[in-house]
Amino acid sequence: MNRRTFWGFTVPSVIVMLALMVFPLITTVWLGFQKLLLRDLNNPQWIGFDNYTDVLTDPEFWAAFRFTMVFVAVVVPVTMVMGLGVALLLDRVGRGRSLYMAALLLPFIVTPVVGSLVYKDLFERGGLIAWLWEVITDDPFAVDASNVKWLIIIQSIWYVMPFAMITFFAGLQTLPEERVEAAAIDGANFLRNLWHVILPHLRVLILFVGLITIMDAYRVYDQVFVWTGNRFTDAHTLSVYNVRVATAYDIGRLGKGNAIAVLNVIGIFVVLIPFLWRSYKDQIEERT
Amino acid sequence: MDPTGVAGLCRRGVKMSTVTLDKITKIYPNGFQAITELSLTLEEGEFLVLVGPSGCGKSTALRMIAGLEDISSGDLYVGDRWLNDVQPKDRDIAMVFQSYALYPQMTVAENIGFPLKLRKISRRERQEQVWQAAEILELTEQLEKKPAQLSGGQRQRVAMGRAIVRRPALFLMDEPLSNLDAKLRVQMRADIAGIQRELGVTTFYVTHDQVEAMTMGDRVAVIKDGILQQAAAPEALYDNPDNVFVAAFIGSPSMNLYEATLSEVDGHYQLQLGDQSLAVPEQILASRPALRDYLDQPVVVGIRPEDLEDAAVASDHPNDQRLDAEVAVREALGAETLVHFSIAAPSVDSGDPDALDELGDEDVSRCTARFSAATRTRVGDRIRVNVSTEKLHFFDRRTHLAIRT
Repeated sequence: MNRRTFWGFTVPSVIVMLALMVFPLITTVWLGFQKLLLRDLNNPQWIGFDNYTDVLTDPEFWAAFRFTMVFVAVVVPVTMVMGLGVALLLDRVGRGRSLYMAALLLPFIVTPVVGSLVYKDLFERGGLIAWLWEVITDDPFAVDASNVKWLIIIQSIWYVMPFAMITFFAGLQTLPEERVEAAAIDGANFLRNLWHVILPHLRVLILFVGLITIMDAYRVYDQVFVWTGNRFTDAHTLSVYNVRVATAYDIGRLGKGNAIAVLNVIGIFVVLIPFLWRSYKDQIEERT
Repeated sequence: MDPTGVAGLCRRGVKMSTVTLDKITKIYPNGFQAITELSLTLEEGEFLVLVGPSGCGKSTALRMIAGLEDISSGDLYVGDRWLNDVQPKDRDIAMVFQSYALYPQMTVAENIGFPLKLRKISRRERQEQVWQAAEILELTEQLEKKPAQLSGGQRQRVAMGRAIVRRPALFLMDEPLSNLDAKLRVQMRADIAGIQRELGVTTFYVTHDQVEAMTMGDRVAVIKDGILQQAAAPEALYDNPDNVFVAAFIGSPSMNLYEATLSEVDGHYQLQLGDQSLAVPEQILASRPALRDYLDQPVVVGIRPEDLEDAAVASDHPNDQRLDAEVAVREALGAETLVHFSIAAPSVDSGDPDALDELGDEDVSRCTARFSAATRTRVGDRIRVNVSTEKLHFFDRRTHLAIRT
């Protein structure tokens, strides 16, 4: 390949990358050091790390950080375990498998905001679950600051689980039958089979699903926004907090918002490091 | 292979057991009958090979013994234990799979020791037994490697190791050599048969390869369409096939099979094979009196390739026991030469789905002869072919059963 064709092929994608990823990233970092308000966009002022100290001393930031961590810590493992469990069950279903699969995939197909609205309506006054609750317990059900976090978490599990399920299910289809049979003859019961045959086979997919669901959970926005709006700020996640700071009160502290965005990117990386390290080691192992 | 290691394994005491299959039948939910009333008895320590063409149900039979498939009807015993409803892990069997089915994340040692681990055998004892098995199989250098780092032959031996370390009552082997290249297969054939004989564990071996069956088995059971055709020692199977299918299936190249007519002319018997005739010695009919009932009727006649010889090489053969032929293909193998020609007689379909279909004219059939290497024939030569008529095989044209009495 000569130099001209090389550049001909690479330049377009490099330009797109620069325009859509590198430039915004640099701008974000740069804006994080500015005092910049939405209503006064033409007058940025360099203020160094003031935005960062402002964020890190904001109790609302720490509340959002705490809830985001709880959210990741609950949603990711529960999603993965349930996804695997449902995939294993689905693998045993003979008749009507595609019907079950379609039903299970439904939450994943619906737009998150729409799904959240439907789900939320179930719990609002006049909603089916709120009504059932009242019939059974004789107490009216109300979404409040104490239960909204769990409602968000449950809905998110319901929403993300199909992704884990379908990925693990696909993995199970490639599991060599003879290996399962060999284990059965060698004396493996279900748990041994799961541990020594199924999980090792799905290992790469488990890493992959883990990576994706952690990222997804860390950045969760739609469900939280629909459930809380400007109420229950205690149940805000980092993404929601970020948007709120950058847009709220007609002021729109864009500089501080960008500082939060930078912290979020760093945070995701920190959470993902063990996974990245694991897949890096896998690749090294494969090569030797 | 290391015989002293085998002795070590033997000293630990090997369970000997007979295996009885009594009218075992497999019918799938869709109504397909894979196995029909299969009855076989394996003596203690016997190596039985179940052989048949693809799709004949031989793997289904093995899987029923393993407990991986339900037995639709009939009884399965190991010793005097009725096994029909026993879980695979409780049957005291070990199985070697075609794909080896090793656990990729475990080392060789862990793979071999896995059945022992599941049986809660202490780590020390496990290590000792894995080491013994590895010595027999010459795997001691590979114990810390993962299966992905091994060659096909080594993987096959790890699978063997996982089976022998258990000291089971019965080995089941499902085409364990078919993923190996030809040369290695010949070596492993002898190795597996050797280990089995040393260990004395009753073995049920399934293959589609009749050479494997003949070389490895104490006894060979031929199966077709789920029905047992014949079970006998390899030599007996080869010399006295019960029917046309067994005759054609066992032996390579296959037995040549034609429709022919036996007739009596002036007190002499002769076999009309298309437009040619062969004199049939009196003693053939003397030893098979039933053949007289077939006089002047079409019968199926079988000629093994090695019972044909180039007349130019062996000139003392009676002239009336010769056929004319025109050489179509010649394959020099060094020790012998295979010569293909055609015979103007209808061929007989043995029912082997893996066999090549006859091409072209149905009244002209191919014939394969195994000449000694001294033959000088070339493609296109018109030659005379000696037929060892005393070695001819006769079968009923309708039932395909051997005429032997």
